[in-house]
Amino acid sequence: MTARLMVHQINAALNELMAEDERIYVIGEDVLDPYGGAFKVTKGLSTRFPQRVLTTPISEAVIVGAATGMALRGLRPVCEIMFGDFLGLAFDQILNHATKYPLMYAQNVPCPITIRTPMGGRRGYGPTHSQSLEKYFVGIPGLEVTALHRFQPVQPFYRRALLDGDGPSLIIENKMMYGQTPLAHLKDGYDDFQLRRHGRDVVEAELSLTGFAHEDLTLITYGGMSDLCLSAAKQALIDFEISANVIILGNLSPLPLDVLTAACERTGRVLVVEEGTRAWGVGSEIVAQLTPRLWSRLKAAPARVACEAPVLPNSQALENEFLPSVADILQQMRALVTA
Amino acid sequence: MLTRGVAMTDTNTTPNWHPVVLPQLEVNSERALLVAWLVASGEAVKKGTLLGHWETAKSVHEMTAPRAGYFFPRVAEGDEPDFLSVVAMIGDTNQEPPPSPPHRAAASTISATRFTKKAAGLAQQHGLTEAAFQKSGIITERDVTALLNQHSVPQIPKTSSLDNLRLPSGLTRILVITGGVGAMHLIAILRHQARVNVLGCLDDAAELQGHQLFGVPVLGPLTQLETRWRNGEFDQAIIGATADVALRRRLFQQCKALEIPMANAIDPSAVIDAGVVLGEGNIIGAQVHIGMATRLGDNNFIAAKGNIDHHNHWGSHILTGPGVMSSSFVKVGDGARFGTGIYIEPLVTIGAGAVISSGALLLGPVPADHLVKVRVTTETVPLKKNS
Repeated sequence: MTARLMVHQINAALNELMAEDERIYVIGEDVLDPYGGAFKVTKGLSTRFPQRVLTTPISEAVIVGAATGMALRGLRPVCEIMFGDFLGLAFDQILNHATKYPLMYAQNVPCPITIRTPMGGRRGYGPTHSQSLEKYFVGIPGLEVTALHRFQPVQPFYRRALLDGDGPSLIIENKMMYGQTPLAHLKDGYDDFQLRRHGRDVVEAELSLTGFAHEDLTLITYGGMSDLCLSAAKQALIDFEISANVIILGNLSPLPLDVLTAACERTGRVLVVEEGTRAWGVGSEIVAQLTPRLWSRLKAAPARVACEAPVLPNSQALENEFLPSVADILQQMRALVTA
Repeated sequence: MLTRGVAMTDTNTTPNWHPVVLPQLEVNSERALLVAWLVASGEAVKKGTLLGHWETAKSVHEMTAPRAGYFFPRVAEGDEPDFLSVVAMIGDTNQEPPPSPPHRAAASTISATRFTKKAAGLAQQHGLTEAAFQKSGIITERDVTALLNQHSVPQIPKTSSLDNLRLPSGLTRILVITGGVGAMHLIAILRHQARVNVLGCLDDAAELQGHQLFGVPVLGPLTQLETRWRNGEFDQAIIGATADVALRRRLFQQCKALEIPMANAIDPSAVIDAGVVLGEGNIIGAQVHIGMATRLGDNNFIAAKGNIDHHNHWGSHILTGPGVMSSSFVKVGDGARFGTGIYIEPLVTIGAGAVISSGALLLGPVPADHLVKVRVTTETVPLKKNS
């Protein structure tokens, strides 16, 4: 099977890395073959590495807690949390255990644990299987949070988390993205967009329809809102002659502030777009960190698009009504340039 | 049985092929992954023969033949077609079915428009099509405007009726550096001067080679400058470029490095008052007035109708548009550039490298390397409705 879709590439990366380093273990629910995980990311791993793929009872606290113990003893475990919504059950293990060891012992006790989990809606999975909960984790000291995107070379992304770091790492994988084709092979263009990448292993993708010049505003986004932002950018240019550069984040915490500042300085107008709920969101922190750096360059107050609904409905049609749309982004873009 | 065959509508063509449709295996997924076909292409199958295994988020499903016939797959192992799409055909004979129509394109959220709406309107207004733009991606209003501005630069004809214009055959042989519009302007001024003989132009632009400017030939690239000077082919040079300060300065310095004397080209309608001190290599356009006791450096271009009043002190490599009106005691630094129709109050000082936009009214000093912006709002509106 070729690595045709994002899910295949993640699977291939895990395969390669497990073959390369015996310290890597995969631990999670239903990860064994033939099922191979709810989203098939771990497919084939238990057949190839039967001793190093561990299926667990339905307890996220056990998954992360056991993995933390393994990491403290020199292994490099990768936890799969079946749905990001279930991360709440592992919150204490992440906050009070995995991240605390390196911090309490002045980085002398490494705890290299990687937690992968799918987030996001638009699949009609209902209120407790469709959320974007990364905002509750980006503020945990000592936890690195990254979000996979289609322009990101997949293997180096996982290699860095699994093998290079000495601290805990949380990887957000968007559910819709699993079934999409990777775009990491694209060098400098995608559709009508010109493409630049910033960073080495975890990259930020920056896209522009007007050659990275003459843009009116900067869209900052990640995960499941990436494609919607690109669509909105294109429609804004065609219909309203509003030009935007789009930054798709790989790093959520810590934020790539230099990249963001450079991209926003050109335009002086910032719109942060996320799928999670609005209050105390990822976007709030991005705006808070960027504003002092951009203060004298800002032409309008930074704006946000986020989910306004407190809970997502079960029906996919209704869910799409409640989640941020291209029209929502477009409306904010127009408001920003006329502000 | 998990599959259902959907019989094709009857046609007169024989043989017939019947599509095998991937059913909606689960409500939580949109598509399934083909793990393996268990039957080879062209192999005979009975109704109920196991055709292949399909994998979804929840489990692996078997697919059986909906009818007897010859099996022809439409998707390959590892593919992940949508539910309710055609994944194979079963033929009445072992003859290969014709290729299926191309897949319904994945619903792309990105449209294929080439022009923005504003750009499309503007392009249509000026009769421009996509082919006029050497650009990939979306064509914006800015692109159309840029192209229109580019078109507004005059195209120089290779030769013209003016080639027969009689140029004086005088004593001083002058070589013109560059061969574009500026050089043409310069030659038009020089033709009034009885004692000069314009030898030709040097320019690097390939498209200008072989051109005649009022009968003055473009002789070749700038690399010939030194040889022609050493061979004694000309006595003085002058620079024709009148749009770019840096270029004009660089060419001047190139000439001075070879110690070439530079000619002044002064239109006969210009008025040069008493006590004016003029450097070399200057071009003074028609009806320019240079007032009493004014000093002008080298290599300047003062366009038509300019007024540099008395006791001015202007440096070198300065370019002006038409109608720049300076009052008395004005000082201008090297390499300043003026637009069209500018008024300067007495005693104003303008720093080197300053750029003054058209229509400016300068009441006070302009520091070096500063731009004077002018905010003028003009709007062109139709006189009649629907025009």
